[in-house]
Amino acid sequence: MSFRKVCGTAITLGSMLGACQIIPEESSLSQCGAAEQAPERLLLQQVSADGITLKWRGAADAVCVGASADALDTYVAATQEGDYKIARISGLNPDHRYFYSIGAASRAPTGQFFQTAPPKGNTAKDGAIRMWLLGDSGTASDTRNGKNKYAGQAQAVKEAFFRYNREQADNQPIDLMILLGDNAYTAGTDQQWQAGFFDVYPEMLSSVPVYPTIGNHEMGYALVDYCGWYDLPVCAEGPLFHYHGGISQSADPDSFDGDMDGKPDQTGPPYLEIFSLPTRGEVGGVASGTEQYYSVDYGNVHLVSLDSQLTPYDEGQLQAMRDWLVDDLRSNQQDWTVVIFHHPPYSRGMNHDSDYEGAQVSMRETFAPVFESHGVDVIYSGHAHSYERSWYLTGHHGSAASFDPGKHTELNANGDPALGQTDSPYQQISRSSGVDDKAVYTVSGSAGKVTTIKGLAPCKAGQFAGCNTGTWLQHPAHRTFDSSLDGYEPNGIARLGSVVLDITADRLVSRFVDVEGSVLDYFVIEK
Amino acid sequence: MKRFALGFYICLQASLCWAHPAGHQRIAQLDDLLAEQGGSHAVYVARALEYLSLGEWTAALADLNRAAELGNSVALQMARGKYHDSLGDHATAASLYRELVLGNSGGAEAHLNLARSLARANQIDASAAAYDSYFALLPVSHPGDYRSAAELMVSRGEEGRRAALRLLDDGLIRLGPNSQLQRLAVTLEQESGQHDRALVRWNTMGPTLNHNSFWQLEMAVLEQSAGHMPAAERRLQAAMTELESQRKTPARMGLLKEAAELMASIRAIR
Repeated sequence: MSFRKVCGTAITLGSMLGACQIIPEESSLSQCGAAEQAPERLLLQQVSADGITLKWRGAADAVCVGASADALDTYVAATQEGDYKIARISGLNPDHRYFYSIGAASRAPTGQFFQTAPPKGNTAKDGAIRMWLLGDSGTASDTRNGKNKYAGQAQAVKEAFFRYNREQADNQPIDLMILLGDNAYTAGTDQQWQAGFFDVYPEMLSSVPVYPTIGNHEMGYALVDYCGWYDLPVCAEGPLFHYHGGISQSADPDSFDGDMDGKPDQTGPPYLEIFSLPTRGEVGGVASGTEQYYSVDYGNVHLVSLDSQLTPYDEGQLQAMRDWLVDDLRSNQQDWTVVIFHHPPYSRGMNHDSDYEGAQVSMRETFAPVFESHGVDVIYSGHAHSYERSWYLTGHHGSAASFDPGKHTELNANGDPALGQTDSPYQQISRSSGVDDKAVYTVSGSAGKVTTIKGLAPCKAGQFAGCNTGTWLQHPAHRTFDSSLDGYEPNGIARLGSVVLDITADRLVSRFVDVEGSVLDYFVIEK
Repeated sequence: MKRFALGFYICLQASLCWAHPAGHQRIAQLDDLLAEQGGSHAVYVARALEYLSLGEWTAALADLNRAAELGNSVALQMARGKYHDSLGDHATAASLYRELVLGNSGGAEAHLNLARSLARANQIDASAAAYDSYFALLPVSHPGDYRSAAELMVSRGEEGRRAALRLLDDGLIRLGPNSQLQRLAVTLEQESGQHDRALVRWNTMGPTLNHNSFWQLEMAVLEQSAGHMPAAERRLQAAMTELESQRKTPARMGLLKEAAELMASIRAIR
């Protein structure tokens, strides 16, 4: 008779740990012979080279996992956390595919599998680590008065990306799905997460681990005057106060108001319940002590998620996050470092000018110097519903007017800011400075909608939104485009789309894929 | 109500609902609203908070009084507390927050505000107890809250420093190894001449920080402060060796320079 180990909350494959119980083979096999119980909100979290967390809602209270879809052989009991079940699988092999059943069946349903991360410091064995980044994708839940004016747009971006991946990118599996915030409009309530996220990407969520960052539309509702935004005829009669998502000025999760009664719900934002994010360096990176910001290692990539909602609203928390980031980056020796947060430090997307918006100013002034000093390679944000990506930047921490391409960018042989494309990629060790002091900042907030200035009148004195500022998508820190083409503006693109990031040992390629599945911009950084 | 619905409809059509009005504009908007509606408890409270943020205490008090005439609420009580805190009357503020805490209303925020007010009122023990209640109320607290709490306590002298260290240690137990909290604790130990304790504390962060070269340099400085010169030299050498093998970043180059200077100064003394 052979024997097998069974553990309370985690099973160790291939090694013997004292916390596990040794039981006869027959008993274990019978544990993996139950029926699959289709879960709600299936989510893969905290993937590492030797483990992963499976999370779901529903009756099932265990999973079975195995290297073969037809013979799942490892039973793992789940723990209950709030409304969710969580099973942490450990002792797995790196860069390896595993199949699983929720409910502990012996066969995995189609689509229920995951790939463990490559060993720390290594790229993926299929050639590259591929990440799919989605900013402001949560419009499927933006239904008001029974209507959703963005209906189908997030879905279209997803399908276009799948088409691109299948037809132009070797159909390589996606290793990580990255959310850049505002992924459940309008206020990040539980129902909005269902409609804006879980219902849109089910085929991804059962096989691709997700790492998110928190956006302003994850922070609940607050009272706002629409007449502060719009020059509406009705405003002649006075202000128009209304509860609205996305305008909470609090950094405190306990302030979350999801039912528009003007009081905290005492539940915190659903974001923090839906995702199980590392707080103690569980997946590499330095322990942050909070799920609001964290870091992980994935192969040879260090991924940092910051909470830009914190920045203008709480000095103590802001300082704590900055100090943690410095410690985290000091401890990081990975080949590549990717940082994500919601509010872009450089942007002139519609209604979100980084010269004026507090969170954006704060991220630029307080955090951009840290990125440049500690070798961060790329920074991704959303918030503005269009695409912008910077030159290879350093030292520009002021307003757009203070930008000096000769001083703040890598220049090409002609003395112009370098594009960093195939013929002349950016070098991680900058050609001009001889050190790793430059980064590319990308704003990709059009995975669910695009906002444009079409039909808007020029802004009047004192008006700052809902009008044409005359500077839309014209931030000089961002690369230039041929604005005579449809959808292109001087320094950005007003098209639905998402970003795909391919990373090998010595090369990082970032592409913006639009809703037609076309690559409209890309850049390359090489070591 | 009709105007609300109309505005909402227009907003939907305009699809531009995601901007963020600047804070200074809100007061004028609230003025208009009050002028139009003739007074509302919630709006008076909201305007009082805006006045407080602008430092206009008299106007804030007037609005708080007007709001009180129209009724009471947790929000009003909280705003009154903030008003008294702003004026430096922390004892009154604390009594207002305490009422909320005793009435089991105001949630965690009331406990936090009470703790902060008591600290400012130099009631260190009471503040520490309120912080205990606050941190006990939440399963997980933000590291920044521990930090803010500790910094408030430190400003109250030696007794406050000890309370701050106790609080930071509690945070470290709850949150796990945390460089933000431990670094502040190390600074407090250093400031009171407890160099060996500081050394022990920062040494515990080695695994969390991957024994990185910056941590090594900080350890070297602490060793030097504690009079352990050979150990300081060994730490510096380790840091410099590691830095020379790593990709050059501005931070690492600065650290290498700093380490070399410190090494030279230690060798000059020896």
